[in-house]
Amino acid sequence: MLAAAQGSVTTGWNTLAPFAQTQFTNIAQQIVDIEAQLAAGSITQTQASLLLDMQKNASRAALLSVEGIGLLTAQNAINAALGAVATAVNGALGFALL
Amino acid sequence: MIHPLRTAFIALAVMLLLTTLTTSCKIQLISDYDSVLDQDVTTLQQSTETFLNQLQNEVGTPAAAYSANTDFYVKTNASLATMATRAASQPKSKIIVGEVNALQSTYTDMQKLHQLNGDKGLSAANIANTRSALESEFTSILTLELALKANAAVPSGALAPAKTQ
Repeated sequence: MLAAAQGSVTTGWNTLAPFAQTQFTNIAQQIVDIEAQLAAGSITQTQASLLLDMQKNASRAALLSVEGIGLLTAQNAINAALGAVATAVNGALGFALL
Repeated sequence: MIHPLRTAFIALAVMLLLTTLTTSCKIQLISDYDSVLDQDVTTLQQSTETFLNQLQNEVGTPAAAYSANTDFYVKTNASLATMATRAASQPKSKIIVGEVNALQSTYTDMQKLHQLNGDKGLSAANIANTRSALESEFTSILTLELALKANAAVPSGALAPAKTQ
């Protein structure tokens, strides 16, 4: 059961790690840039608020994707483990009950 | 001494429980892949990129003013509302709905910024910051959709190979 679940978790992490790193690095750079523009006076406070809100939305979307891939990974791991239970029961019985 | 009928009844109940758990109860924690939503997001990304490129070329000209570009926002808001409705109609779609809502909020911010700048339109820096936020959101949505698509392509039996004798 554990081996069946482990494969699903590894696949999910391989998708998640590079995506999360890239997204959050880019968002952080954008926030620094917006704050620099505000400090330089090239944008107003209202403009900065709107631009920062866009980055907040981008962060929210990235976090939702991380959560989504995590849920997908958990779903696959659980279903793989349930499948392994069925396999073990059938093996013990000598016929395909489940 | 346990009555034989009671023993048989308990054994049958256990078998039925195992059967129910392992055959009809595949867990679903997130919505399935939606090819229509995938395509809609891609189409929206393309039209937005075209719009931002156009604005970039027109910076400082009357063509860049908000009043000259309201059509884009009318069409985009309609597309987003359609996407939100479709996403909400799928089971276990809280994540995708949240992402579409975040996208709607960014387009609203972009529209407000454009209106605020009036006849000047969006500056080159505004366009760059806006483009970055939108690209990030599109990437987030499409990364999740691609993961769901890849998952749909894997037969469930492949996850637990049979070992029956």
